[in-house]
Amino acid sequence: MESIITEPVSQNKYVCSHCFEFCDSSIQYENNSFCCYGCKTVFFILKTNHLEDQYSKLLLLKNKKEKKSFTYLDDLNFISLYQSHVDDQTMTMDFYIDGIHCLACLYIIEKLPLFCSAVISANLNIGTNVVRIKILKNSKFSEVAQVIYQLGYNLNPLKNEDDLRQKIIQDDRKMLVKIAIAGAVSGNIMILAIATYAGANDFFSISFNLLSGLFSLPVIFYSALPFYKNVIVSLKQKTMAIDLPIVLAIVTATFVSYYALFNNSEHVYFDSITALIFFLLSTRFILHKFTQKILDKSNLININKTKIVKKIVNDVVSDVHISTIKSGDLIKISPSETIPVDGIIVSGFSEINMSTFTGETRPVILTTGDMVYASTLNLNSELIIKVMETDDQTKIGKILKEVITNSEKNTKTLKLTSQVGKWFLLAMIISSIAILLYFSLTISLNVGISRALTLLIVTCPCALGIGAPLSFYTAIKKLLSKSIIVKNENTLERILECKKIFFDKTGTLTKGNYVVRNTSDLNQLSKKELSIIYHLEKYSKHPIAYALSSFCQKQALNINDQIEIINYKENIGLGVEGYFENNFYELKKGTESGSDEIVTTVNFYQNKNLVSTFILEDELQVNTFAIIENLNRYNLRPFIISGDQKSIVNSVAKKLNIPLKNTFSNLSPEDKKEIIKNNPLSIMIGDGSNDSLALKASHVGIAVKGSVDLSLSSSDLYFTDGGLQNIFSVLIAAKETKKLIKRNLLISSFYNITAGTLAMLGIMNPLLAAIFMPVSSLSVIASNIFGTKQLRLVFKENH
Amino acid sequence: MNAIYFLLPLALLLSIGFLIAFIFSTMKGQFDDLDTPAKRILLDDINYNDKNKGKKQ
Repeated sequence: MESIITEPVSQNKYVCSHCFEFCDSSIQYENNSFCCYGCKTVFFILKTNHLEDQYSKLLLLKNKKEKKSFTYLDDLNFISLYQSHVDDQTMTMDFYIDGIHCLACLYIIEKLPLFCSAVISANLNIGTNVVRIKILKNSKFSEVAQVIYQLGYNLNPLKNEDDLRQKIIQDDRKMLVKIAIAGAVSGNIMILAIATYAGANDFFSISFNLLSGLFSLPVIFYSALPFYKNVIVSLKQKTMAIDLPIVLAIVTATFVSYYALFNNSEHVYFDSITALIFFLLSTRFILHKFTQKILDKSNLININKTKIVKKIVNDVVSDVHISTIKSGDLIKISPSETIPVDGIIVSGFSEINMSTFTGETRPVILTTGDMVYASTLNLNSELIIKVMETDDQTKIGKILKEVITNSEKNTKTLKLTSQVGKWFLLAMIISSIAILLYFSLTISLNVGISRALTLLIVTCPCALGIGAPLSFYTAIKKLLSKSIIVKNENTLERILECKKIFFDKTGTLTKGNYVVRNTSDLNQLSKKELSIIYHLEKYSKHPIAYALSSFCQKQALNINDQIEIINYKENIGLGVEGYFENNFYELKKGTESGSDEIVTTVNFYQNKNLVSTFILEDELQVNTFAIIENLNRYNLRPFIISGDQKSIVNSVAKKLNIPLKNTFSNLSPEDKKEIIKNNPLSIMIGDGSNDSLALKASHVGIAVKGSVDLSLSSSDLYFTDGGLQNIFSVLIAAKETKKLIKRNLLISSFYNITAGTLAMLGIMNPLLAAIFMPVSSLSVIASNIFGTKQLRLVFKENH
Repeated sequence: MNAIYFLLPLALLLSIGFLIAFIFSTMKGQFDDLDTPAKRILLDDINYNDKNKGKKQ
């Protein structure tokens, strides 16, 4: 099974010269396109007839010319934390590997021992993208990592979280064993049962029933354990689980069958019970593995923790892994680097982008003595920082930690199944008691008991137990094909209950960065002037610089590269300046102005004379206005909550027709959470890491930005391509799934009522039960596969 | 019909045998990863004798 999360189809689609799959044009060599470095390398091996024992020549075909420093992998402290196994002669460590695409990649990675002498074995798991590398004890992981990197794959070491991962693996194995036992036994019992139904004589039917009874024991008392555990848990919490009526049916059938066995009667239901347990267990396991696979891909990417930091000890700078940094250490932060810790600036003077904290796109100037926070971005110049807090003691770390603890949103039970289940259980019990009393009084106690018990057995809601999860599974799968990740089944239930929708501003409604507004007087600028501006701004890391340089590139179409700026100077917080052809050019930030809206202006001066003024704004995302308008159809009222200033938030609200009383500005992450808490039944859409408190507090949280694993720990939905219009796909999926479930309920009610009536009339026998129950399950499954017409329309696969 | 006295226990023994084999292989981790082994069989085995021939000097 190829990677589940499909890449969005790009505009430039080429065919890989090696594996003939579609790829974007990123990897090109000698007029060939490739989808991954594995394909490229293998293509050339085959082309030049390299034989297996000349793998060393492979390294001459370097896919990445530059080397990356992996020296932190050799640090003894690091190794003791991260290695997964060690013995006398070998060391083993797991890595998350980036760039694995197909069989050719597997080929290259697993052949590592052939051209890297330190490596004993390299074992890749394509599903989880984890490679387990075993090397000789006195070799270095950094050398191996270097080789892999130059082949074209990025490596990230994985911490040895033995307990958690092992437990999950063991639990899954045990579940597989339970399913195997249930399957093997039910299959064999069915063969024996058919013999009985076909009319085997007394001796054979008795001995077959005995055998069935014997083999059913492990199924009923081992395989069905998960059901009993669920029932005990839900009874303790006084909540309803769909397993309750199912366990009732199992217990009743067990009792009836063994009683009949000892009385040499024919009314044994072993085939139905074991088949039922097998069906239920296997569908649940498939669903579980499916959701696990989605979340696995995102959970394993703890990229945030894989940071190499430059530590300064006695004026010597060395690369170390972030986990070895402690409070009091001195570290160096380069321009364009994310600050990994909370700390105080010891030396340096730079602009910091605080948007992950405050939502403001405008950088803040900080200098010696100022506090900096983890996750913010250093823009212009180098800083030396004294570490105050690391990891989960940082401000943002504390927020994220709070978010990771369990909330009641994490429970998997669907409201629908618990509600319907309650009524169902009630109906089952009442009707069986009624039948018991009626027939005991009219015919005999025995008949009363047998018909009541038969009713309990055949009206088992296996259709409900399978149907509802299966419907959500189909919906989640379809949403996944649109690059929308859904964390929990009950998200789709909850989203239909929501009445309000809160949008974060920066990065969600707006693009999050500056864009030059194209005014008429900018068309007067000559190509030479545009090129000068481009060259002045291209070295600055300030967002305004990016905006200006990309604007100039678009306007000029062809930047004159001959221009060389002399005496270039960047004035932090003010602008840039330089000389060219003896003219003094400056680009200076103007004063913020405008009564209607606050904008940022940059003035372009030649020899102190104003040439033109650039107006910069944070542009709205495409289609935002249409999206907000369409929300009316779903009865969702839009609100804006932001950390940015009131004036800017209000101008955005005006553009989108959102009433000003529905906007909130100047908020900290905690404030946002308070507002969400005061507005129950609301959807929150925002940045996964920045807004995590608010996302968690909301009824449904949607992340459109930020790393996948952090976002999914706080939100329920993650839009991989960040587009707000995905919300409509989710709403449609939720609505249609509700319709689908109602249809499933109708089908299963039909079966249950028919079966119940037959039981009441005394016509029901094990043979009919063995037919009815699987057929009802299968019809529900079939109904799910066909889905509803709308679901098919909206989610037509376009491969 | 007497054949069934022999065939039935044999069939049951066979299925129990396979069940035990399945349980054994599951607990040893054979079914943890179902995607990669499917692709791995297409690759040649590493011949460890040739390994030294390919080493960079």
